[in-house]
Amino acid sequence: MSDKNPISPPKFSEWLVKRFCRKDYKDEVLGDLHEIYCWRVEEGHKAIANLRYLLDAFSAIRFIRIQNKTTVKLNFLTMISLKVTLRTFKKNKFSTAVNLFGLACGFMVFLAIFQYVSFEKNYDAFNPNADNIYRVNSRLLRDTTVSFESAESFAALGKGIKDQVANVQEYAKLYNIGVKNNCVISFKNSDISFIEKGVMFATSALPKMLSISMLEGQSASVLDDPYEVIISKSIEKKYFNGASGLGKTIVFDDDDLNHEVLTVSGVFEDFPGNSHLSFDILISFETLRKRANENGVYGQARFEDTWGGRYDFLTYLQLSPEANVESVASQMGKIATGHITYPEYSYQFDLIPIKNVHTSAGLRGEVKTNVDLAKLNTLLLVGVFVLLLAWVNFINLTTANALNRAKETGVRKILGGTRYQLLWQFLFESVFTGVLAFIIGLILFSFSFPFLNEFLPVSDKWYLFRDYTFICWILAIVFVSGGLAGVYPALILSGFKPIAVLKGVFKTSKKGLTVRKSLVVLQAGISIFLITGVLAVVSQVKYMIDEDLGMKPDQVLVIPIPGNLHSKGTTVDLEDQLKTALSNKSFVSHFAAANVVPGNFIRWGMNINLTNDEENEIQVQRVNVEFDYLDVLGIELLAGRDFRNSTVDAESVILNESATRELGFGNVEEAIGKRLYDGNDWLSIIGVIADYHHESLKSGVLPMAIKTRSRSFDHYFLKIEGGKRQDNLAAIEEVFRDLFPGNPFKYFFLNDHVLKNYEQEERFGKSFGFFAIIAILISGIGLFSLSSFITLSRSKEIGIRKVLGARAKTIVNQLNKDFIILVFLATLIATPLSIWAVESWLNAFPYRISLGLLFFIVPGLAILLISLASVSIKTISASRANPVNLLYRQ
Amino acid sequence: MNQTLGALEELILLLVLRERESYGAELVKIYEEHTHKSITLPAVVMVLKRLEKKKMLKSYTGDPSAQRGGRRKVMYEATELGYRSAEEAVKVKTQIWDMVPKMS
Amino acid sequence: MNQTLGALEELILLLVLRERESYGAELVKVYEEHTQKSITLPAVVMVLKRLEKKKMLKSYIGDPSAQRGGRRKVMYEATELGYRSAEEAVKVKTQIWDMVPKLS
Repeated sequence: MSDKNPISPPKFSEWLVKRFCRKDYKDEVLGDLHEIYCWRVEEGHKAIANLRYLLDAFSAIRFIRIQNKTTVKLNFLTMISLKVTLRTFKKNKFSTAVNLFGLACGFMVFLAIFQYVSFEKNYDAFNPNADNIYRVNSRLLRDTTVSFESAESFAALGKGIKDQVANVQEYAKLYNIGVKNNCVISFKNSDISFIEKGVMFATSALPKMLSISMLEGQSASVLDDPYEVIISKSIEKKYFNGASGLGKTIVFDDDDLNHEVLTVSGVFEDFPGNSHLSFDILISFETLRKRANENGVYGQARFEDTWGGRYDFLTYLQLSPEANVESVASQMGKIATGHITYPEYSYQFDLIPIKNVHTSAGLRGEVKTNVDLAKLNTLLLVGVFVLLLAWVNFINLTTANALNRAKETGVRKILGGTRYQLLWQFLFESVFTGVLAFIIGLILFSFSFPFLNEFLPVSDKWYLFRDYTFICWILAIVFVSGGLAGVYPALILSGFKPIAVLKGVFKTSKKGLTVRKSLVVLQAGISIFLITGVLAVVSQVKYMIDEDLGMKPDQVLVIPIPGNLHSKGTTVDLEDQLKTALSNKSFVSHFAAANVVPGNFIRWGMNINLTNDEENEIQVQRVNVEFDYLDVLGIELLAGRDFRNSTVDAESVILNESATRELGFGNVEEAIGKRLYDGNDWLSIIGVIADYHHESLKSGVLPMAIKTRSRSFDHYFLKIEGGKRQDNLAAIEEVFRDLFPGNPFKYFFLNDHVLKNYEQEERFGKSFGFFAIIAILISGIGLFSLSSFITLSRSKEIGIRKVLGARAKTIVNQLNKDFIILVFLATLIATPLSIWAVESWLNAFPYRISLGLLFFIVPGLAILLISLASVSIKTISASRANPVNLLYRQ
Repeated sequence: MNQTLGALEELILLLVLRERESYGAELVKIYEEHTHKSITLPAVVMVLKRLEKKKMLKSYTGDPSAQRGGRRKVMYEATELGYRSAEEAVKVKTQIWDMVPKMS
Repeated sequence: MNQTLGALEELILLLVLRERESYGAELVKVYEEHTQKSITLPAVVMVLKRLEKKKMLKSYIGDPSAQRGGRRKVMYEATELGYRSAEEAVKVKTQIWDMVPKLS
């Protein structure tokens, strides 16, 4: 402890004392506490000292009595109410525990969902200029049909618009090279190298526009000059081991044989995860221009001046606050369309506020996968539902318990308790329970966070609680809903006529019972709905994983083509060397190279026709391969032959079955030997393959054309047979290191990669399963509370039946019958609704399961069993009770 | 001498007597030293106020000190009655204890 | 030895220890002899039960006697823990008392 700072006790505890302690004792007590606090701190345990102070502060509440008149009254009432509340809790331990637990679960789920949803919806909100910054989505139209849509735009757009349209204050461009090429960062005089995905070229206005916080370097000018690069803090740590990276040089290589030595001109704080963008390394855009100048005019045009052509650049505009977004967008469309020579084509642009990019529909070229807004809202609805279910229970249980306390109420009334006091008592109790449940929910939430975070990922456990307004909101929800839950029992009970109650002649109103019964139907219905959802999601995912893709991705090893090759001459030679070296290995049965990876979307396409006539043109996906692509993937050749090599078959093409069908061939044999025109060349069809699912079963098979060539590939494929995985990998790595020094050896197995496509669905299924369990739990509690209420109100009847000789079993059946009817009703209502919802979810999949009888029976049956189990606890004990007690009670 | 003394009252009274005069915070400390049990300050103050009401203690207000965050402290001192009550309480117990057959 | 003893508990425990074993009615009598204060039997019994719960006393059922209208009596006896607790309680107080400057 430094002597300079006087030790000051925790503010909150001090406030507690001040608030509750009797006035004339206050100074003394505070002084004493202060002294004790100082001792404890000097003993060395500040945390313990704080805790003890807090305990002391709470126990100072005993001095509450005489403060000033009004607060005394209120505090006194609070104390009494608290006492009565705790006493009631103690008396009904079980139902209180159940009640609290149900509500706490509700809060937990709600918090988890609410946190996730608000996390996803507040992407990019950390940027202080977020309201004025827009990402440009571009759309090319042919007459009125969209022929192309992308999150990226062409090179000239940003600058051109800034120069020609009013209210556009600034523009910035990003070239997402890390995704388009395999990029390798290495260092002079060192063997270390890294493959980096988060590499982008950025114009100099970008750091300021995105509020990137610079730790080192002049933020105004970090990306002004060619060959300047800024790196994130964690990259700095990775590259320079904690030393400052400023002024150091790094070497950039990519698989297009670009090679640049870059100087680190700045280091920035890691870009937040809750942004639609993600990057670690930003290279100045001037580098591209300089590179272009060295390579000739083509590059200059490509990176700066073209209107149209390749869509490679994420473009951002900063508008002045008074700008009209629509008018800017339409002016942009007019200007860009002016640059097109063909009359039937036109451009349209959408300006998406960066805050909304993450929740907008995902287009080609997005940096991260966008989130589906409808799904988010559905999830939020589920969260609200679960919380609502929990509150319904809470009200039910409170009312049921309250009837037990009718006698207490009567006595209180007779002893002069006013209606106001009684109301206060019940309200206090429910708000108190609500707050308590919220606290327990918070604790549950905290414990289950690692689990929840798997399917509702959020960057930070207490993300929501960083926000002051949210805390106010949630407190308001807790208090208001606590109050509302208390109002109903409070009004009913405080309205009882004391004499009637004491005599035991209160009637449970028919209406109240109906309301409660329909609430139970609602609960059971929602549970059925959720169970059906779980079943559907899980079986669809299983189906997609198990279904035959038309190719065999197992035992296929994929190696990204090394990026650092500038010193190696042409890749063609190296590829041949690699193939030879690997084919010599006994465990490599096939080797191939391609510009696509199964499991990923195919970005390339071409238009083909048989007659050089635009009207009969069809669009196909284009795949470039070399060597044994078909053998590696085990794709079936239906007719014709595979490529011999890239020289002989330079003008040959292999189509898939869908393509031949679209071209109008009656059967696959017919297509062999025919010629087709791809816009530049005439190609002859040498083979037809069976359709296979290139991306995943989430999308249908599109027409595809495979060509062979010897360059511009992205990945090598090895079919491995036999041998130990470990040894095989070591052998392959040795060959790789030999041929491609200065490149890290990265690889993945194709079947893992293909399965990644279903991750989202699996996660969706998991979250659904979890919520379903909670919902079932809560509705179990709901049924339990209702059954205890009903058995209570029918206890006289049960007593009389028993006296008249009914057996316990008959009574249980009698009581359970009511609930079976309720659950049956719920099944009847919920099943069509859930089947409808599940059907519409499944319809988004081209290959989907069909809903069997299972889906109609299992959810209802499950709920029925669960509800019978929870109801029977109460009914069996009621039927076993001594009839004398039952009759005596009322 | 009809007032009874609670267990805690007796102990606190004895401690005040031993110190001649004392105040809440100090009493917390020596109480914990003597009994190896922890006690909250409000409990001590409560007892002091009760003893004062029983006229076994009297109090006066001391000077404020920086150590206490600038607040005055209230010092307690036993009265004649307090002394006698404590004496009596201890005597009764020691008397009985002396008659108990000792174990070790 | 973390359980606290109330003032009355301590006294009753001491009395039981002195008598080696005792029962409710007897304790009422000795209590009144020692303290010149009156006490009701239920109060004593309450204390005895409480001490038993704290494992400081143990009880067994004695023989019926004509004096008690043929009813059996429950005899109480201190345990080791009871002995130690009483010792501790008395010691703490006498220790402090010895340090108190004496008036007369």
